[in-house]
Formats: sequence, C-alpha cells, structure tokens
Amino acid sequence: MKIKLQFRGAKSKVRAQNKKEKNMWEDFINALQNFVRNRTRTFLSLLGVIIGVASVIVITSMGKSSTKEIQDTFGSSGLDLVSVSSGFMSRRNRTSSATISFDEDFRKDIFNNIDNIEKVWYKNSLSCTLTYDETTVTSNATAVETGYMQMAGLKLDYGEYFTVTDSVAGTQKVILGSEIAEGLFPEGDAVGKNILLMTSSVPFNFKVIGVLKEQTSGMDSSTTGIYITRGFYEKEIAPNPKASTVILQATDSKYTTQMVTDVTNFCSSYNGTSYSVSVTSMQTMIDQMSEITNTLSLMLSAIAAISLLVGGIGIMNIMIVTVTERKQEIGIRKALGASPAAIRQQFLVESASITLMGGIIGILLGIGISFAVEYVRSQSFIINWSACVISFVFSVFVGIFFGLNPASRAAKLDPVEALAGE
Amino acid sequence: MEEKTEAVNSNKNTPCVIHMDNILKTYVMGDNKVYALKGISFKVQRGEFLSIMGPSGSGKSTCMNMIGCLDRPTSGIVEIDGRRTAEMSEKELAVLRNKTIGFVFQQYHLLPSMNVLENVMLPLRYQGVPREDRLGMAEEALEKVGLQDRMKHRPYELSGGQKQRVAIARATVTHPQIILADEPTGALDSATGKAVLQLFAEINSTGTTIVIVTHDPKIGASTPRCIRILDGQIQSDENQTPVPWSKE
Repeated sequence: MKIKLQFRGAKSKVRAQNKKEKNMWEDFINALQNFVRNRTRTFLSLLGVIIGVASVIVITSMGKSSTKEIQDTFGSSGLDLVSVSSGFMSRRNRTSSATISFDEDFRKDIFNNIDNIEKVWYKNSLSCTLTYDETTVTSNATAVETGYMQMAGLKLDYGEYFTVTDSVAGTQKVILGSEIAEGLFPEGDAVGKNILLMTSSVPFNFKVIGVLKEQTSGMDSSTTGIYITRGFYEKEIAPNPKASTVILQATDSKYTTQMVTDVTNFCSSYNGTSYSVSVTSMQTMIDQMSEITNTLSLMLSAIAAISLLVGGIGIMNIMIVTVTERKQEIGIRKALGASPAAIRQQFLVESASITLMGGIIGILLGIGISFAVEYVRSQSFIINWSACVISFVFSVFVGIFFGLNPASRAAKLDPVEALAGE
Repeated sequence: MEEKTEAVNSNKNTPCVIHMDNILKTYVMGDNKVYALKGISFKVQRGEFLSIMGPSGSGKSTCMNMIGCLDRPTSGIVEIDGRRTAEMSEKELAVLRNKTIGFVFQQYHLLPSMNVLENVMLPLRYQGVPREDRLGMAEEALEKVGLQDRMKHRPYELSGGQKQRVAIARATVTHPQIILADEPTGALDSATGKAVLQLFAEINSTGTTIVIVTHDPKIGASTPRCIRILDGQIQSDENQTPVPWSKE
C-alpha cells in the first residue's frame, strides 16, 4: 500500500488537470439523477427558464422568417418604384370622393412636378379568360408599355419580350405567367401557340410569345398573371385610356420614401381638386413590416428577459430548498473529506445542469412553436441556430449565476450541524 | 495540496496520532454559556484500539467531532497525526479528514442516491484519485468486509449489518490512520454488532487506530483501552482486558 501511495503522489500532478473536469462530470451525472428523482418540482421551477428560452427561439425564428418573407416578396428589384392608384379613400380625408384620372395630361404633370422621377409607366388591367384546346383558365391581364416588364424584373423562362413595334401596332401577343402556361400547356412549349382571350365577352386571338420564370419577388405576378401590350388595350379595349395604375420609377431607390409623400400631396391638390389616391412603394411596405416585426420582437424580448429573470429566481429557490433538504448529505460529504470548494462546485454544477435541461427543453419547445406558427402563417420555417446556441449558453449562465448563493450556502455549512441534519 | 500531502504523510513516524491537550469547548445558547468539554487531555498512540464512553450529554460526541476535525476547540490543542486543527483552514481540515480519518456512523450515513460501490468510492474522489483506480480500491475494500457481491445494490436494499459494513469499507478505502466510529453497533442486533466489532478488531490488527465512541459500557469494556467521560471531563482512562461484547 505504501508503494501505491507514493505512486499516486508522483502521478497526482499530472492528473490534477483532469481531476477537476472528471469530478465535474460526476457531479453532472449526480445532478441528472437528482433531477430525475425530483422531476416534477424541478420541471415546475424550470418553467420560467423554459418559457424564456422558448420565446427567444420563437422570436428570432419568426424574425428571420419574416425578414426572409419580405426579401422573397420584394426582392432587390422594384425598390425604386412607387405605385399610384385611385379609388382608395384615405381615412383622414373622408369627404373627398373625387376620382382622379390618370390620363396623358396627368402623366406630364406628375413628371414635371415631382422630383427625381426617371420615368412614368402606365398600366391597365382587365380580367379575362384564356382558352386553348379544351382548357380554359381565368386570369388577370396587365396591359403594359414597352420595357416595363424588363424594368419591373419580370424574367422570361423562354420566349421573348414585347418589342416597340408590338406596342405601337397593338399586336395580339401575350406573355404568360408560369402557372397559367402550365395550366394551358401541360406538355410545355407554349411559345408560338395561339390562344383565345375573352374579355367582357369579346374574343381575341392571341399568340403566345413568352413564358415567365417563376419568381416570388416583385409587384407583378410572374405566376398567375398574363401580360399584353398597352397598345392593344388602347386599340381594342379603350381609346385614349386612363391608366388603372401609375408606376413612378425613381432615379434612385433612396428617393422612393420621399416620393410617396410628394405624390400624395400632389394629388390632394391636383388641378384644385382634392383627390385621394393610394400611393405605395415597396420601400414603405418593407419599412412598415420591419416596424411591426421589430415592435413584436422587442415585446417578446422583454417577456423573454423577464421570464429568464423569474426563472432564475425559481432556480435559486429550488436550489436553496435542495441544499436545506440535503443538509445531511452535505455533512456526510464533508466528513468524508469534501472541501468547501468541492461542495460549492457540486451545487453549481447541479444548478447549471438543471437550467441546461431547461435550456434544451426550451429550445425544442421554441423550435416546435416556431414551426407551428410559421406553418400556420405559411411562412418558411427557419431556425436561428445562433440564437439556439446563445440561449443554451445563457441558460447555463443563469443556472450558475442564480446557483451561486445556494452553492455557497452549502459550502459554508458547519459539518457538525449538517451531519445532524437539523 | 502537494505540500500538505507530504506533511500528512511525513508524520507517519510519530507514534502519537491523537493528542488532546486541555480541550475546552463552549457553546452559547441564548444567554447561557454551555461547557461541552471542560479541559480534556489524552494521547492516543498509533495502532491503539480504544473506546470513549459516556452517557448522552457527557461531551463524548463533541470530543469525537474534535478528533474527527469536524469541529475546533474553543481553547486547548488538538493534534491529529501531528497537525494542530485550531490553526487550519476549512480546506486543510477537509484534506486531513479525507486522508487521516475514516468515519463510521451509527446511522451508517450512506448516500441513498448512490450504489454501494459509488458510496465507497466517494472519499477517494475527494482525494482526486482517477476513477479507474477508485474502482479497484473500492472493490478491494468491499471484498475485505465481505460485500463484493452487493456492489451494485442501493443502500436501502441492504440489511443494517450490511450497511454498516459498507460504511466501514468506505471508512477504510483511503487507508486512514484513524477510524472513528460513533455508536457503530447502536442500530444493530447482537450478532451483527459482534461481527462489526470483530471487523474493527481485524482492521486494528493491521495497525489502524480505532476509536469507538459509545454510551454502552459493554462496548467500553470490549476494547483494550477505555476513556470514560462525564459532564465534559475525563472520569477515568485505563487500559483493561477486553471483555467480548454481547448485547444481552
């Protein structure tokens, strides 16, 4: 035995490094056993941490998902556009019922009066049905000017855009959205085919010249919309037409927010009449959505912070109870040679493992909730992994911080009193 | 840590393992000062087998706590294995308890959440012995008390005698200088109590100092030396011819 003792003494320096970690690991296993033994009350005291962590996960996941949705919806194209349409009464201006005419005079006036306009685009829309062979689909046709589609970021899957000649001559050519094309031509290859376009019970023969690539971004639909020339609209549907929607293209996207205000003001006193118009830009929509998301995030973050704090206090409470309950165990351990530091470590590890469990449960719960919420809102489901890692680390930190007091209580216990267990 | 280990080990040659010199211990209870020990002095040599006997309230438990480094005297000198406990920090006392003293309690004081083997391994863990080595040492200690087939059992699955034998294995696993037993037969029937005392005698024969604290005069009579304590003072301290113990 003497030999063994000496042997151990010589090795102890080398092993000293591993010693603490190994004991920590055993403390961790002990803590888990205690956790299982008192699972109900430990779980209940963990609720604060679980809710806190879960809300952090949900917030960040939803924030990321909303941001992605905004990006998907608007993309990078179209940020320089301001859309103006009539017929919408602003709440502030209920008395005004006059409908503004987006005629050619208005086009000139708005171009001359509003700063930083690159170009003014007029659009019209009409509902129609499309027939090829036996198949008929309903759609909304948008009559556009030459170059509009390229400018608005509508990309072709195959085929070609309208030419200036098409516009001027008002040729009966159509570009189909991807879903429409699929519906009418399941076997593909729509370009060159003739289809029947019915609007207001009047049939027209149209030749398909292009099919759009499916995109989630942009103001105009690349899937369920179809596009014809405004030249045709002018020629066959309504001579000298007023546009249903005016698109103002700014010289730079940084002017769009100001332009929205300018256009609203301009229309409210156009030709001495107060017209109410609906002016939107992607930029303002993004701003609004971001604002809502941010407010929501801030609110939920506050909830998360409060529940983590309350959760931490709950942990402190349960740890104090544990220390009191296990007074005798502490006494026994001290009699067997546990130093105050070893006892402190044991209870700190226990407290940290409890909150670590809470963190894991909270993360799983949070992922579950965000999945459910994003599924219901049919958003894309994104997990913010960095938030998971941060919550995980933070929950352990909460455990250590709020375990400090109970652990040092345990460490300071008088061995004689503790052994008596009173 | 290293130095202290050296210090504890280097004193192995001193014949005196316990030295109590004029120990005074007072407690304050409300306005009263209670004297638990009123100047106790004795020495215990290496390898002795003695009992400290006295009725409850006599101060024998306080005396045991002093020897066990769980408590420090109000005045006087306690030297355990040549080290004065009054001057030592909590941490140093923990090291001394761990390396020099093995406790055996009346109520066994095994940790219910651990199995037998883990209970016996626990003191080694506080020494920083690697787990692999601990397993071997604990198994060895359990074999010595005849419980090698109960290693994976939980304490509640064992009889009183078995529990006490586990406690003895736990006390001896570190090969301490002193085994300190507090009423080790108090909760046991005659036969198992006898077996436990027999076990102590065996351990004593390998050179370990054994101190049994008891209220039972028969146990007091069963050890070669008996210190009788009453009202915080030593009544008698004599070597005797041991009379084998039986409860009846």
